[in-house]
Amino acid sequence: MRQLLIRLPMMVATLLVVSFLTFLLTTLLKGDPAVLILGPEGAQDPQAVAAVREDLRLDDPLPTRYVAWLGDAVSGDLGRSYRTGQSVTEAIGERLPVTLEIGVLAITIALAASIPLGTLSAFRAGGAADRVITGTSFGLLAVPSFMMAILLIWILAEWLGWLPATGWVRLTDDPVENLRTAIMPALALAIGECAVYTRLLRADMITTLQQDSITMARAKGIPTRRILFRHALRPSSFSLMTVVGLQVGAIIGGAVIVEQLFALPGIGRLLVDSILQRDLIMVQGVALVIAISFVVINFIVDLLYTVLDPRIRHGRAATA
Amino acid sequence: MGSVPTRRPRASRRLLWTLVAAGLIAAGCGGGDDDEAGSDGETTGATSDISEQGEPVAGGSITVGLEAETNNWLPGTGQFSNAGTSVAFAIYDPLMRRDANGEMQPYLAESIEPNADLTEWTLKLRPDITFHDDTPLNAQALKTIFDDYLKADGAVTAANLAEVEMVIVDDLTVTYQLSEPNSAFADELGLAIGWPFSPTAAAAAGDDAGSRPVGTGPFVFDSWERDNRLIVKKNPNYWQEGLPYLDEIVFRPIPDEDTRISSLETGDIDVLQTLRQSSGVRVRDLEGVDSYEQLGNITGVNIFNTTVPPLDDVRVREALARAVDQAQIIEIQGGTGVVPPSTQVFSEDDPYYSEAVADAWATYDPEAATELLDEYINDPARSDGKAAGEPVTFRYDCPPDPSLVDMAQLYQSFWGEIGAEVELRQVEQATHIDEAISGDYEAKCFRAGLDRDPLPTLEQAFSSTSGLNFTRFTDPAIDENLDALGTSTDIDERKALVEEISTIVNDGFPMTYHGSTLSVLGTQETVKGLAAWTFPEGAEGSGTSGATTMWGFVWTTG
Amino acid sequence: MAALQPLDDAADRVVGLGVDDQPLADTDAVSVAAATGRRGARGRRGRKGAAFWLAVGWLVLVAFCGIAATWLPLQDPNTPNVIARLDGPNPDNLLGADALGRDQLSRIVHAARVSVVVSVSAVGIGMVVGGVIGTAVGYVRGRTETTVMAAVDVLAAFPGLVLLLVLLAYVGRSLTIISLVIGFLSIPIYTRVARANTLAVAQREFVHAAHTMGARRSRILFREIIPNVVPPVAAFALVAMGLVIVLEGSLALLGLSIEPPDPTWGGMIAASKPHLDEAPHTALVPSAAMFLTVLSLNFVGDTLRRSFDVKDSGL
Repeated sequence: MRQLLIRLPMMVATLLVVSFLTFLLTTLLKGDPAVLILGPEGAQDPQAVAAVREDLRLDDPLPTRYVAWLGDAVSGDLGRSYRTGQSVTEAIGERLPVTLEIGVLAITIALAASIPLGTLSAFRAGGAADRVITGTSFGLLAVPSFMMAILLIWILAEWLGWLPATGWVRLTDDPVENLRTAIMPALALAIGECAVYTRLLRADMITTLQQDSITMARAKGIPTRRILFRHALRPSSFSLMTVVGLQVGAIIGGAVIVEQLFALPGIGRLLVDSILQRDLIMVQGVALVIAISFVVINFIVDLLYTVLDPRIRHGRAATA
Repeated sequence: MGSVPTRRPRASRRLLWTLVAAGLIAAGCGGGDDDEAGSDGETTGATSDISEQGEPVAGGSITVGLEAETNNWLPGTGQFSNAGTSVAFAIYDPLMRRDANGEMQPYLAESIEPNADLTEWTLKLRPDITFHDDTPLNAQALKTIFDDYLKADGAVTAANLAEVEMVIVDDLTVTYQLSEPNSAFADELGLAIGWPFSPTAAAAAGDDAGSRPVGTGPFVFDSWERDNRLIVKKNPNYWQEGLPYLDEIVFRPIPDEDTRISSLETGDIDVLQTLRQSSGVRVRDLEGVDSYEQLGNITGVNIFNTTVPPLDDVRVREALARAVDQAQIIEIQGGTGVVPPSTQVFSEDDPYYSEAVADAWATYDPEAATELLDEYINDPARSDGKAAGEPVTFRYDCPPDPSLVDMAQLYQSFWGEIGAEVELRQVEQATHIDEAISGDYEAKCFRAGLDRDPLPTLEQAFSSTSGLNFTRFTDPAIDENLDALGTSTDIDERKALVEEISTIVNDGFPMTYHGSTLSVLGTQETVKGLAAWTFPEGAEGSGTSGATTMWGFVWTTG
Repeated sequence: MAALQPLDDAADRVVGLGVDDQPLADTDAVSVAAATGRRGARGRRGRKGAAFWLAVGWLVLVAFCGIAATWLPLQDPNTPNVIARLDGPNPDNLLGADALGRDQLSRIVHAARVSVVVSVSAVGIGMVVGGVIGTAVGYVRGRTETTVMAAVDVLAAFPGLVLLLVLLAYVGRSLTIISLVIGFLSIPIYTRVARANTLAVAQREFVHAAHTMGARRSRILFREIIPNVVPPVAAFALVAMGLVIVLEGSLALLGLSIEPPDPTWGGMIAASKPHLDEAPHTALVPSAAMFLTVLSLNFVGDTLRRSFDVKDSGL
């Protein structure tokens, strides 16, 4: 609770600075929103352009516009898109679940693969299995997600024809189809993550396995499988879990390319399209949402970090 | 519609048509096609490779992959590209559409008649047609749409309609009153201005009207997830008896050309739309896929800003035109054997295409080009203010599409050969158009032409009063000819006027050409009838012009 | 963007968790035991395997290409030759030709320059600025530290992708802009890495000993702390270079990398996408170059990091 009280003003300040900087930044962009709204033909009429600019208060000084935007934003109104006329809040509400689902699925896949692999690798550290796993994860780390995406489309969609190359079906519309459309983009993101997780878990697990409690358990004759998954996994997965937590914040960034290649209606694609098409008000809104999620997730991770691990609490007290 | 013999291997088991948007000039086009077709088995120009059609069957659902999403669906605020127009023809009916001979004919309207001096156009509606929400389509509805939406402040269409008023004559008749003669006004009514939507539904939806379109079309809007899918369902009360055949259409924007083609290959989508020649060629070669191609009056061009040195000097522009081998540009775009080189805005298939203009167009001649450019370079009074002997430099902008990036690099190399130093810049569509309007550029790759009557096409591009005259190239003779074109309905007279304008334009080199735009619909063989649509009175339609079709006439056997 | 945010988790991988001053147990129990500061690092060099030297060799080759591409006996990378369009490997074009008929070998060699310049300068900026700030506040501590780290947190919360895309769209796509922006955006990560390592080093015996012997703070900072902080930060920088190279590829796919005709690996991959079926070599060649380089950077960085590691050892 004390943590929250200290951090809250800090978080709000961060968001204010970030949103103002974004506001400033987007005004740098060339291109008149009025021309965007009216289209090349409509923009020929100077009166119409003036009317639209007036309506959007584009000629007001920057601070005035920022304060007006902020006032609306606090009440949940991020304005209406210059390009589509859609409410920005609604647009983000539509896109965010797509990106989140891909991200959560990617992390799930990565964990499901990396926990057994990392454990096996640590248990037989230096052995043949460990070498293969370590080598493979090194290789996979060097494959960018866009290469992976192109490769997956080529193999799974075009060659084997197992999955649709593009498209998105909402979870609420048809869960099976939803999974079929989500699995390839999730895989493209998951493979690199899996390599990271495997390596992290292997390292921590090796340390854990050298501890006295494990030696004791072994001496007592507890079966290996039980030692690994019941006794060693929990203490070894702490740093893994924290990285996974942080990763949630990275998803939005990581998904941009993948969403583009798989034609998914996610938040990353919305952001890129809006920047490229000069839909400044949409850029504003999306940037704010990304900043909020980053700040909040960082805070939660920090909080968990202190709450969960006594070593840290102790360490903080010592250094603070 | 002429059937052109072909030597493609699959021809024996397939019907192979050449679909022509407008009357074909037999001497100029048909013969040329055959000669070129012999060399490598490919046919130059638009061909359509279509399986046996059979009888229409009712029922079924298809998915259509489009090259772009549309910002919103309400005429007046929506900006409809080819992709958007394609979707619109499921939900709305156009008052007018072009027939197989290139003439505008009433579709949703019953008739349209101009007065003698072409300043008043009287439009009659068909009786007993209602929108999907049961609002009747009558003169009052048209008037409300016209005044409250199309001419509203901030409407995309307002500038175009500034000089037009609508007057109600009776319950089903209105007149459009123009401030000056316009022989091509009917043409406007084929565009968003002429797609009636329910004024009651639009008023009820307010700001969200653009995401809940209600028209009179063969399909009723069902749902829309932006950038993902738009679903329309069969309109059971459609005014054309027996239509539509399909129960449902799903439209999906898939902007990436490669993934859209993969999706057709894997069967994720049933119909694909594209305007890229390289994609058209790839679709042609797919097994089990029908392809409908048309060459429209849209051509790839480079536009030069004729008010900015060094491009304000006609010698430089002519040198740049003569430095380029159009065949190589088409080759690297993958269009060899498909897209004929172009010499004017109008494609070889169009009635306004002029042989004389084509013959007069600058041919590839690097030596002449170097001489012309050297003349400028060594001119002590050269317009860019540099010392004689210094190289000519300018910037060339193009959007970052892979095939355009390749093209831009080839241009840079051609122009480099004759001694012009060209800086390439990739620029997003929005900025690209913005800069073209404001004149803040030197040279850009663009598309010219509108797939419409030559009057709006040329007026927009070269009239001295047009805000969309991107090249800033003007000539009093062009303006005079445009005025004459506006008051003329005689096809031969109009052709002569258009030829004169094209000649003046080409002599001034405000732009160079790189091949007509091929519009393509590729479909699974199970989807039929994309080119089969007709007017209510039975006249044959313009097929898949601009990669659009009338979805009410499409059926599936799959 | 795929790689911007992951820069973060790379930092986390290096400092254990990066969020705070508590480095966690590190990757290799063996290396932890062996790593005891500067002397330890030197002592381990003999035990690096052939794979390590292969990776170093590849990186040296890439760096050499980046510097010397113009003087190598190669075809012009930018002159189109439409006749050779999409040709497969042949005696004229050992690695085939691209969609404009340009020699792929020459293009990947010249593209190495972009990768070298972007990755070295972006990482250089981040490392120098972030490293100095991180080391300074990690050593000085107190109110300065709190303030600076708060500012760093704000910068880290700023959606870097937005900044990058907006700047590229506004200012244009030059090599300089891309390097500067990526460098600037990565400052927070280096600050954290450097600070975490400084904190760790500051608590070790030889630092305490120096204090006790009455050495001046500046002397301790320059003689004891910095020499021990630079190696792990530099090892992290190698891994980060790989991420920058991947980021360039992502930008190229979005059409936001440097202007043609100058080749980049990412640009070549993006340009090859329409030709995957008919000419897969146009995609394979630049992909392989990028893959091998990133792999080598990761491998070398990781190996060095393990030998330099100061964590846990002296506490």
